[in-house]
Amino acid sequence: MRRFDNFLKLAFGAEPVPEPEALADSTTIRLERLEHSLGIAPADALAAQGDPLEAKNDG
Amino acid sequence: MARSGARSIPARRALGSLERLAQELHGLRERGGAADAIERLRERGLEAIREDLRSDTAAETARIQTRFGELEHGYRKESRERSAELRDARDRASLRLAALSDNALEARLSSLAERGGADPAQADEALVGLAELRRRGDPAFDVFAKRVAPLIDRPWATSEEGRALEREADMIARTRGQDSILVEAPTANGTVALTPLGLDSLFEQVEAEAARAPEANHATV
Repeated sequence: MRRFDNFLKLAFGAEPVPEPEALADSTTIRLERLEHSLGIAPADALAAQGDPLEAKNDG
Repeated sequence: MARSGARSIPARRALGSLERLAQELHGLRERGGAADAIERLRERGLEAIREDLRSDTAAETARIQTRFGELEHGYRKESRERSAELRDARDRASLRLAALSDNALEARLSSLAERGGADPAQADEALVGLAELRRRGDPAFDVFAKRVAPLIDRPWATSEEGRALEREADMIARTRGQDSILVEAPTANGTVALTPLGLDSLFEQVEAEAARAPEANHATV
């Protein structure tokens, strides 16, 4: 069991957080809104910044 | 496998956990929980999420390396099995590309570099085209050598799946060892830069969002 899920169970008696691919649509939409409002970078943002291999070589 | 356009898998899992922690703490506050107990739970919850992010990142890195190994193995196996067919295709490509104008040859190399792909015939054609550019003494040779290098050196990484894996690996590499998630942050000159943001700072924002939209706390998970 993942550490946070174990913590949820012990501290709140709550169910584990579902895997991202098993989330209900409503939760996925809510998390995507949250990602957007927090500015969490989508993978496409990396492509827009250039070739990942070049970025690695530069860095 | 990571979908193109998705955040890294460890980042997405961590965000789901942060949101759940914010919900549970919000509920506890509404039920009149003691402030110091809530603070202790907040710290313990965040520490658990940090540890999960580290182990998820390690597992995801291992998965990416394993998958790249499988893609490379599959590519080399296919190259061996189709060796006679590929040799004929190389010969045909050599004749075809030699008959092209400089501009048409460069356009063909651009197309191959952009499209990528795991078909060994494409990497062979890129190599033949590059050799033709050099034979002609084309001044654009160095530029094209750099552009098609990924297709020639690691063709399995230029397929759609390979590129998605590269992006995932790059997102992970940019936050490694920092207990952070990559965010798009505005810079002083008005552009957007990708910057790692620590889980503690991120959680403060998640809590602020939860406070602004309390109805989200009752949504179905």
